[in-house]
Amino acid sequence: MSKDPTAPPHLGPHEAYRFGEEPVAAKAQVTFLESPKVAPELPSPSKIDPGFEATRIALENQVARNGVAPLMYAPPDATRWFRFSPFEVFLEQVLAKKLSTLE
Amino acid sequence: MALEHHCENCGFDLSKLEQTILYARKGGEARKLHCPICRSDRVKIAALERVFSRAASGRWVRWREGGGAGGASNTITLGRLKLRVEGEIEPLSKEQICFRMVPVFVSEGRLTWPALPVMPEYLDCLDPAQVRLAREKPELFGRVIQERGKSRYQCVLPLRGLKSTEWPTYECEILPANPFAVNAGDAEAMAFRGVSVKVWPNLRRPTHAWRYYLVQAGANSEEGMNLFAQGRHFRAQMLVAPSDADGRPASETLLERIALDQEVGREGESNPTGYVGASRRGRPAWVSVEFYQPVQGGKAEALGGGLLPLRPAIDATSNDTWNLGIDFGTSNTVIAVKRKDGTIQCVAPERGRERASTTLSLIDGGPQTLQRGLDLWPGGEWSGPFRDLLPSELACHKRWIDLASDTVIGNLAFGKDFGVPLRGGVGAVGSDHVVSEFKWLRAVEKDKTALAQRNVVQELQARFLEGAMLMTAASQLAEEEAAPRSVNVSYSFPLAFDEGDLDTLKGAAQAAGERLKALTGADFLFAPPLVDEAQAAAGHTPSDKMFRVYCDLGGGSLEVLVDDTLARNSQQGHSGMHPHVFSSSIFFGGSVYLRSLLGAGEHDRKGSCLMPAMSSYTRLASAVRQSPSGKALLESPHVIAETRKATAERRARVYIGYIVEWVARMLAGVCLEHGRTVDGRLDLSRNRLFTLAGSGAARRWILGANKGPGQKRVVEFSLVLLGNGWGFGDIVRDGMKNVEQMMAQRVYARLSELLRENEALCQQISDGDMHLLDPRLTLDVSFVLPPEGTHRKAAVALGLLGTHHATEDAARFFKKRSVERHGVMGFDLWLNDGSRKIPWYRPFGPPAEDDPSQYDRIQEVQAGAGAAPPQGFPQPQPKAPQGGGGFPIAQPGSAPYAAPVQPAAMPGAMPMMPGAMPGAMPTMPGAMPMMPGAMYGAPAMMPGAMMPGAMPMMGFAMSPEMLVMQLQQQWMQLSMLAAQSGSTPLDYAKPQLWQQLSVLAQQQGLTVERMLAQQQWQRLVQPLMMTPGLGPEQMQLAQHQQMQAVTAAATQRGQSAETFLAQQRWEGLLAMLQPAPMAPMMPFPFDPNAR
Repeated sequence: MSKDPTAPPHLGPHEAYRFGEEPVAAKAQVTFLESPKVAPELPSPSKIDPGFEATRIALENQVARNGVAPLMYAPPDATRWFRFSPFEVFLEQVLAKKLSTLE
Repeated sequence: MALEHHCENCGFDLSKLEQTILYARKGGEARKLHCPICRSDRVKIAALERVFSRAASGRWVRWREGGGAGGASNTITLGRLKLRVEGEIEPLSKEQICFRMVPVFVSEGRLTWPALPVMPEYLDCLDPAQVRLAREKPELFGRVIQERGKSRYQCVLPLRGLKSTEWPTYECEILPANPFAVNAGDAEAMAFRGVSVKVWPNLRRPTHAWRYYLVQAGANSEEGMNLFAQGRHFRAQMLVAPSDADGRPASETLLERIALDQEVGREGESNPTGYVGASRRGRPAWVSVEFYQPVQGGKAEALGGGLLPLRPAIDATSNDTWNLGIDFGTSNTVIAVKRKDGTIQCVAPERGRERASTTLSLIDGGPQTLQRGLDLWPGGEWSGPFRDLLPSELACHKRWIDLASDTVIGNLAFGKDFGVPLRGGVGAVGSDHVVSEFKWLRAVEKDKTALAQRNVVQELQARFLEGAMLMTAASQLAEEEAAPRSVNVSYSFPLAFDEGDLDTLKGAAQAAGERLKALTGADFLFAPPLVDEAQAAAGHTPSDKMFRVYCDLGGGSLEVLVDDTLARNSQQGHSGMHPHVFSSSIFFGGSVYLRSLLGAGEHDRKGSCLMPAMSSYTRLASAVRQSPSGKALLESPHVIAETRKATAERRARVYIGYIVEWVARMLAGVCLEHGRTVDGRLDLSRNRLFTLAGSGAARRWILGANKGPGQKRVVEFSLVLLGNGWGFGDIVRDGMKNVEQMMAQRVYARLSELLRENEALCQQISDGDMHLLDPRLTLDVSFVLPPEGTHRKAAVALGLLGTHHATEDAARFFKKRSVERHGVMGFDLWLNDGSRKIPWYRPFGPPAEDDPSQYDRIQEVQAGAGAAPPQGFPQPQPKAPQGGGGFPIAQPGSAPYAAPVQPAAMPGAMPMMPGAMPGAMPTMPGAMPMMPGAMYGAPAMMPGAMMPGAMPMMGFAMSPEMLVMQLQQQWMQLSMLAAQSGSTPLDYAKPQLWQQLSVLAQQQGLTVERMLAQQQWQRLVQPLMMTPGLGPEQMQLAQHQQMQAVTAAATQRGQSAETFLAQQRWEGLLAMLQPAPMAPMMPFPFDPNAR
């Protein structure tokens, strides 16, 4: 943390700051650590997608399909980003299909 | 009489010439006659005007009565002179060219009838000037008279070649609407009622350039079905003049006949109630209504009919340019127009009958009371409470799955074969005839697999855009006098689009523009989209809260943009930071909820919540469009089955609930994660929650902002809901006043919970006095309602035309946006590549780029001129890295900087770029690509006295080329100095050149890279400006395309456009930086024999 509260913005080199999650290896495997808590009136993600299997497969496919992020400080062929967050993949590809089964 | 057969040159009377001349061969043109005395072709023979060849058949005809061209059946006798025609000259009578009976119609309560009783194929037998007059003043021609209690139709026939005094009067009976009634009544009793003949569009000032017209003739009511009474056939056709390249008609009487051949009918019935025809060739001159009766041999005999006139078009052009913004939505489309006075409003054709009708009624038979089937007529009001929603659907008389080819779809006629079902595709109109959600290939894959090819989807989009633009132009031109010369159309796209989706949309826009040019005469310029939909909307709504959160829930996608107001306004220490904190988008629009109501598919009765009659997506979408609210939809007994209402509501709760969850997690990400350096430290100056407050020595970074009279500390988020999908939020409003309030309340609750769950992290986020969970800090989530008179869907289209797109803001905020989506992970993850754990609040994807030039400015103010060149350009003096991450960062105890200085004038678009051009030059350079490391080893500074190429003091700015030349001239000195430092002359010269460029840029008030980029841009566009004949629009377009190419090339190299241009310029200068060419060294002493 900057200890000088009077310091002006440091709009320095992009790579000096943490932004998006680091590049992902080509065949990275994803594990969902725990089911996030959601509002109590909602069915939890783990109930909608037990074991997060569907979400995990969709996410890994998505990462595999990702193009190269055009950033200058990483070799082009080594940079694979999450271009969709896992939560987005869950909404788009899992919840959207399962919504019609909720009673 | 002699003057009727004489030579106008010498006066010779040709009738005295005793000779027989072959005047025309069979089927051929007539010979040109010359005077036998003077050889002049100015020969006037009045009789020849009464004998003429029919263009369609090539046959020669003469009037049976009233003419002066008697003689043999193939000879035109002029005294002694005889002109012979191969084949027969047929006698023609007025009865032969006219209908035997003429219909009379009741239109708007009054009787109306055809202006001419002539059969369309004989129109060329009339005098062209009189035919035009009949179009302009039809009341001078046909009329209905009363004779002994009986009505008859009467018309003076201006027969071709006859003098006006010779024109006969044609009189005939009136065709009774009811063929079984006694034909003895008056016109009132015999008139057709409930019949309409209409033309689209209804241009207030029709011009020749507009070539696309639709004509429909048919019944409006059961009474109007007399058109199709037993024993006779009704048909109609339009007569269109062939035209030149500019659309000017070539003739008033030689007209092309275009049949109204598309049947329109009642739902579930095979018998037609009317016919529609389309002309792409120009404005119809006449509409012919015709009745035939069958005769033996399968032929039909003309029974009655007549010609209804259309006012002629005029030859008018304007230099006007329209500016339109189109929000092409998955379910609905909104189009905004910028008027001449600068006001922007949504297009709402014929809204509330206050607006002019886009349909011209030649016969208005009253309201449509027949229950129609597929209604493709493009005239009429649009949908929604403000009548500005155009359904993003295309209906077709044929099944779409039978038309799965871009060529076939491309040949369909808008408004006739296919169109936008403005009045809904209801009842028996099957979903096979309606295609929707074609904005997305992936949605078409779900709905109509046969159409799920990219070229087909592109053609569907192109035809929809074409139709939408035609309807928009028709709406405008129904009220405005001047048709535009060009129309600039801005459009956007959802970030959830992949590259293919975006390419498809661009291709569709281009194809639509080409078609529209041919149909309307105006250049429709669809500029390639530069902003996504959320950003477009963001520009429309100013804010006074710290963050605006734009949530655009459309039919297809949900976009969320978190916009930093302080960064947008360069306030309180946020200057230079890009306003877009997060910008994300998912294919999770309102159609997800709608489809869930259908169950797993259209045949899933178990999972469906719908009434059986509503079991297609098309019908459901139509019902949604007509429903005043989501709650009303749920309560409608015709839509949701009573027993399934609880389930439908439950699905709405889950759908909206997860959207709340997503938004809340993104806002929590803003709070928890921003402003971290690579080593995990929090830089207050980069964290969006902190602002610079106070002044002078008391100026400091504080958490949140001081607001209100009590200077209460607050972190504010303000929700702006956009898009029609929020209508479903109405289902789960739970007593809140509106959906906005409901969303703000729920997002606040979830955001608070998420922050509390991460208490330790929140306590780190502190300004030393207050942390994120401090009770003195207010977390505020408010909302913004749509402006008065507008609605949630309108903001994107309005925003596309907003002034911010034409200003420097566009360059600052829209060109440096993230090219990808950027949000938070949402779930805690573990990745096996390096065994890393990723918390849910971590962002993903590259963010929008900040503007380091503002930081440079601060440094310049502090340290004077000579800011360090950016990375990638030669550094005059290697600097030791500061801070832990190898980048400059303020350290405790370092001399405090002054508070950030607002740039006096942000260097904006390139000077050569038109200000309004969407593709204005990006202004914020990214870091330059790495230059060879050897540069850092060059000496920092030449001794002033020896510095080659030192910038002399002069009263004019030197060009970079002159600087290069100076260095070239001192190459020997450079070489020696380079040898002393162990480097090459070129490496030695580079920093010298850079330093001099810095001084040059400083003189111009620019950074070096900006100056170089501007110069390179000027070099690129200079040839365009020198191109003769390029108008302003073409110039603008060409520059825009040039910028697109630059941006694409820059993106490939991972650079901003400005960096790319600057790099190109720099490399060009380096290429010049070679030893000056010298005379070849000759051996000494001079030997003339030596080579």
